Amino acid sequence: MNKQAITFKSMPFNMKVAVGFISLVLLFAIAGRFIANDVPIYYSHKDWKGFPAMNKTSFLAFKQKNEDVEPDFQILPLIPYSATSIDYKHSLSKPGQDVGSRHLLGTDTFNRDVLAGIIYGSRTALLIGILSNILAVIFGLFLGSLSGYYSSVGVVTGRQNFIFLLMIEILLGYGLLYNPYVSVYIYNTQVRLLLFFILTILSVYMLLRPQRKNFRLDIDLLITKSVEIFQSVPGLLLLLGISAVTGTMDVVKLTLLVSLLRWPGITRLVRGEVIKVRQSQFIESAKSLGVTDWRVIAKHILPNITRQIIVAFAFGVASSILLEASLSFLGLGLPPDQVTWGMLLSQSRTNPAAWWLAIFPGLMISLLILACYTVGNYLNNRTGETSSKEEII
Amino acid sequence: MSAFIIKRLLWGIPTLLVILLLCFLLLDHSPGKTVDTYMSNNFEGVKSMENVEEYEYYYIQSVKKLGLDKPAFYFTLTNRAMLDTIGRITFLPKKTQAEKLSATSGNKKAVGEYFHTIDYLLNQVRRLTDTVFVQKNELTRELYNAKKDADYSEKLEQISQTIDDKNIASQLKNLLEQQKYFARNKPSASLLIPAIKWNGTDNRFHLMLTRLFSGEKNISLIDSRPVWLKIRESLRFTLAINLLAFILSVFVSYKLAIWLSMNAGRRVARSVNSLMFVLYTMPAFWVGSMLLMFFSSSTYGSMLNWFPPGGVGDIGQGDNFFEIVGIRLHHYLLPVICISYPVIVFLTTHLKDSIKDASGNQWAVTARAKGLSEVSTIKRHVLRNAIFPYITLLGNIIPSIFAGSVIMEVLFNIPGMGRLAYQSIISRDWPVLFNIILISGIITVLAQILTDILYAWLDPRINTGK
Repeated sequence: MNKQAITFKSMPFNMKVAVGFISLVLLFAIAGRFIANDVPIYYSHKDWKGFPAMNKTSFLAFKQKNEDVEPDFQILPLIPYSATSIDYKHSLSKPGQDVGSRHLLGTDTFNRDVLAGIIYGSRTALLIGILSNILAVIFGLFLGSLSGYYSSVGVVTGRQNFIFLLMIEILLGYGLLYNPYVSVYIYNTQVRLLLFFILTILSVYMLLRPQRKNFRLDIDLLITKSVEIFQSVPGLLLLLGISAVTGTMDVVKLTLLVSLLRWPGITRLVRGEVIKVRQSQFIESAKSLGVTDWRVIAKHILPNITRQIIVAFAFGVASSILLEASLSFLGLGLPPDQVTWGMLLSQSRTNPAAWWLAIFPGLMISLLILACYTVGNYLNNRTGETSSKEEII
Repeated sequence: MSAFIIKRLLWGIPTLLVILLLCFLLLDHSPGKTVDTYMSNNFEGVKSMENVEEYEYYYIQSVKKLGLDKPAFYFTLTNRAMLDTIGRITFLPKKTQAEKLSATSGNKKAVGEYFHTIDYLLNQVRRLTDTVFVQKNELTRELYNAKKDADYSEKLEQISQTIDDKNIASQLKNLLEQQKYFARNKPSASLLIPAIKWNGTDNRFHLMLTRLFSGEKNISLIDSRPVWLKIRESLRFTLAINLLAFILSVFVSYKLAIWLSMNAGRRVARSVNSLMFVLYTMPAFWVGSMLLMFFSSSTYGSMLNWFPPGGVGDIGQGDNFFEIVGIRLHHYLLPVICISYPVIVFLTTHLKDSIKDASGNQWAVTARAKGLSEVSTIKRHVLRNAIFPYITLLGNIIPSIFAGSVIMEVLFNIPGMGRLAYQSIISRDWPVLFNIILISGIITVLAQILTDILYAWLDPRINTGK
């Protein structure tokens, strides 16, 4: 394995371009409101001083009171429109059509600036792409390492402990997810779900250990079969169905849904990598020194498969972005007041003359995916042996 | 071998069960909304605001027609505080209210009494003859509202002070007292004690299972036509497109992978590789909309108007077979290309990699050493070993082809199953949507089982025993 540190100088040209592009999109995502906004970044007047781009409301109130005041000093953003600001004069104007209006990439059907939309949309794309994969990786790491570490061996666990665990699980499920008593006090369903998962993981950690009377629990079979079942449900259709039933989308819901489709692939990958590492000598020596299983997984196995997980993460971000874009393209993603690349692209369906609505957002999606793949491929080739390519799709 | 097939088929059963359960959970997610959709499409003009009695009558009729009055599953898991007769309530807003009241008060006797009082009052009000019509009407509406909403109603109090009938006035006061009682109460601990009730086969899940095979009763909420009929009409377009895309991608990727591995290292092969990489990163819906935009209209010059702007084309009366095929292919070409190009890239990359892995083996070296040309080495020796992972992949790409065809059918306006699913999402036609998900899930599972069996049959090294 090549353990040399990765520096920007040592990268090949295409990797440099990819990293550059990802940083640009990151910049858009973080500082979008300072690049494109309909209020100045800094505004100074003897009555009102401050950063309107950070907090619009008080500035707009000030502007409403005294309309025609000249500021002493102000810094204007590069693009004088935010993603939601409506320019009533220019509907579907071509890029560079009206030089005075500064719509560099034209406007869409709702009279909004396309470039501003692209800048604001990068936040949604990256947020959903990265967050959903972080969730999927956490879940996949937990299940995959359990499954891989205990494959063909099984967990040796106490009989009484296991029965106790089952009872706790039933109680947790009944109490937190089904019974209305608790839901009166913990109103939020997502909080209850989170609590359920945390308590489940905790109780598994505390209780799956040997006692006087033991038996082998084939945890690998359990996990691989559930992954198999999950992978044979048609993902996009299921996603469409769930999103249709749950009503209006927000970023949190969409992230959860996308990560629901991502975890089986990552679990499978982690399982395979853990099985590879498990056969190494240092694991055996650690075990013979009496290191506990959890510690072996956390301290000796997981550090050895970080690269592969990062590679899977890079590919996963690409496919999550694609998924989010196709959902918004169908009009089933985030509500239309939140501008996304897929939504801008979908407007070109009804306006075949507006080529700028098709080309620029699509190019952004495509380039971001290309950049993610480039990074993934580069890291994958540096690991020496190419890991399984299942995770690409 | 037969043992392997039986085992594989048996493992398909839990997968199908999970898909069934998932579809049922989603379909059954909000019965109230289902009834609303059905009513707004079938009983137009029946609004809850105008005539409450008529509304409840039609509501209950719809609930019975859709089978939503039955319990959800073979058994019901509730708690000790739940109203015992909750299963018999057909008016769903009342049911939700009863559940909520039982959950917050934990006093099922009080909940039962509350609804009993309302029913009694409604009966009494109906018998009134000497009251002013407006007042009677208003009282009826308020009482119906009280079924859906047990919050303290000031309007009811106003009416109770002006009403002449002593019996009704005292009962109204009773009702208001009960409303106050519910507002005061905190949840009781009897909610924590579970209670299981057995329902038998007369439940919604069983109904869904039987309707799946009987067909006629499983109706769309929008036009009351059997779901199976709607799906069958659209299925042929989806199958045609997907089959064409599947054949095209298998054929092209097979040829391309062999060509690439024979020309490996040459500049042409390298540029084809990079082209494939770039193609793979381009979302199919983007490529599709660009193709539609530039090559199916005269917006960018009539020179480029090569393809029809979506649809499947009209077939005239006297058209012969070749004309029909010509019209269909002309319409199918763009969507088929858009569905298959990512699949082609994916399959080609994998087959190429496994050919590369296999050609490093000793027997491949031997074949070359004894004088076989590179072509016959790859075709006769290497490919036979490299093809196995490719066959497994064929089973895995079927769901992704299905998913791809949803977007493409919407984009190219093809009346297939994907567009039907999309339209049923837009119009909240749950039965159609979840039957489509169910069918594509079943197709996926069957395809995976088939490829596994094919794999085991082709490669005798696979351990089919045990």
